[in-house]
Amino acid sequence: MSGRPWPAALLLAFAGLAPLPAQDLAEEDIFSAEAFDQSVADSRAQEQADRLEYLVGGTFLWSNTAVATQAFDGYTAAGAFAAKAFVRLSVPSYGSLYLGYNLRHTLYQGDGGTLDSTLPGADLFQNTYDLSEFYLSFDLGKRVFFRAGNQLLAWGPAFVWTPVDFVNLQRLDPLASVDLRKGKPGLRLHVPMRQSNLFLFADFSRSVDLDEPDVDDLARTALAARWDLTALGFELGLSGYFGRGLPANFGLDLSGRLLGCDVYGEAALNVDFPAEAVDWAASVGLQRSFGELKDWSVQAEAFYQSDVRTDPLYQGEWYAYAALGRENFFADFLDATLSGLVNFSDLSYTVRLAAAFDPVAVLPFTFTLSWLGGGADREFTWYTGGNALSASVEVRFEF
Amino acid sequence: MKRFALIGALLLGIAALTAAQKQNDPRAERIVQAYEDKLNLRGLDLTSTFTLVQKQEGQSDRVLRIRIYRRDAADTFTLIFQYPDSEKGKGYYRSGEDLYLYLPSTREFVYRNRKDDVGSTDVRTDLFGQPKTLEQYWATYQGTATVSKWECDVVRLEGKSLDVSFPVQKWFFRQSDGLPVKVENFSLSETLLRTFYYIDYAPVAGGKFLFTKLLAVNHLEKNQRTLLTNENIATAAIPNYTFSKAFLEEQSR
Repeated sequence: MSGRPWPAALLLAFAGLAPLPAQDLAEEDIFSAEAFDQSVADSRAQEQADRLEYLVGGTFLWSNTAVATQAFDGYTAAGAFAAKAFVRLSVPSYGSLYLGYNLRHTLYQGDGGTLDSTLPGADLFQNTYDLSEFYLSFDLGKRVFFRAGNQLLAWGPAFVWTPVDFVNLQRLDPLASVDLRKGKPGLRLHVPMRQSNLFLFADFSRSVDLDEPDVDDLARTALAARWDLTALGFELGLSGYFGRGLPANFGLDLSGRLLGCDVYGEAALNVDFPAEAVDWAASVGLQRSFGELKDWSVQAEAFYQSDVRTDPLYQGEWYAYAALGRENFFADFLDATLSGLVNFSDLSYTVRLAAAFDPVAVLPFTFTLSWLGGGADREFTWYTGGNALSASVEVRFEF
Repeated sequence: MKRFALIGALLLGIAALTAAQKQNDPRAERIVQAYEDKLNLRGLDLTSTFTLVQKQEGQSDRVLRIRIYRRDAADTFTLIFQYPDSEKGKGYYRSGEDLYLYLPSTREFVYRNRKDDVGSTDVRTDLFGQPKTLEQYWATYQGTATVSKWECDVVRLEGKSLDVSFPVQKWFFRQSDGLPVKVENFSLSETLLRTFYYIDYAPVAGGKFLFTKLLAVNHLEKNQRTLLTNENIATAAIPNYTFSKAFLEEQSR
């Protein structure tokens, strides 16, 4: 034991073995680099000890929605839970395993009065579970990265309409509060290069077809590729998707800054060579934040497709979206967004005013009022048979 | 009529007085400029790893590891969270006045301002980029004070706009080398929110400096503090691609 016990005692105090509040430490102790290092080392020892890292998390949503016809002579109402939960196990030197599940459960549902259609039936005593993603990730010397299993791909920068997202089973629903899409089984390979990235994806989703057991299934594995590049402040992506018996898809996307705005665009070409049929789709959009604290934002997006589909928001040829958002609206626990979506092909539209509350020590919730207009039996009024007013309250938390 | 003239003159006087107050004190400006020149890394690309240890009363320590890529000449930086798993893939990208937070869980970029606490710790993003003190604050000289064993010049800063990390700051610059050793950060109502102690610096090429150890004490949360360590510092050229949103997206995959 040396004859200078005081420095050692101070070290111990700062290291947390006999913790002293930092606010109470004298400044000469605070500036001790040795004590600082010891304190950091103690905390990092825990990091080094955790060889197997695991992470459990997810999103839970409780939604309640009521929709009334314009004349208030008919209504629908429903309450449901939706959740997405995942677990990820990682061993840093090997790789990681990710498993995610989606859950849906209807709590109540009803309609009455004059309506042109009824809500799809729901079982109040059963949950619906879907495998969201389940994959193994690993790499070869940090040069080539692999991901094998059911997975979602995120190709293209657009917010509402994503023409170059031709690989996923479902397009992202921009109005949904939780992304409950199912991933595709496949093998993804990622090669990062100096200013660009190459992605290859082998899509196994058609390798099993119970209706056609005799077909050479593995030959129906489809292939997708993407190369993205950053140059002159813009990010450019080229993508393609090909498979036996499938139309070929080609995509181009671009995003960057222009005149103070984030601008982006996507274009996709779908070519059915045997049928000599060509379809194309494109979306362009911009986003800008302003105000001294950048708490105001505007966003706009437009979309065109030459051939309509049955998916929501893809049923018409021309669409547009615009939104005005304000963070910390009157109080720091309230964000407000006014948005509108219009299908120019059938002239139906929806206007939404959403107020997201996140008060301290209370579950965050969002109150949304929507007007669905454009007349009877259009895309946004199909359920109610005409113009309608919708109100919803969603409680959402992430863990 | 005379009354209006009197009120007008009074208002003009107040306006002139306010304008006069909102100017940099030349001595304070010189001190801050000298410090900015030492910590400004224009002409260099910088890569380093920050370890943030947050200590909170009654809770186990939080350890975060962040990789930073910084290019002061282009007024840009990219921060990527590497540890723990719950934060991995998150990141910040600054391009001029624009600051984005990337959230890999929703695959979205969220616009943030300078008041954002990095990883919910006690430090804010400005600490990681090039200092722009004189662009953002009015500086006044407030005399000298002793901090630990150093005689220091004290400079008070008042934000020129709302988009500053803290509205009021008091910086203590060591007279021996002009580097700050302590910064007190206040709210607009002059409540002391956080104090930063610059424990150690390392010289970088060309007479420039980087802080390598910093302690941030939170005065609103009892016994809460964050210790930052800056390691693996390199000044090799960084590919342009690193300073893009695409890089953050790619790193999170």
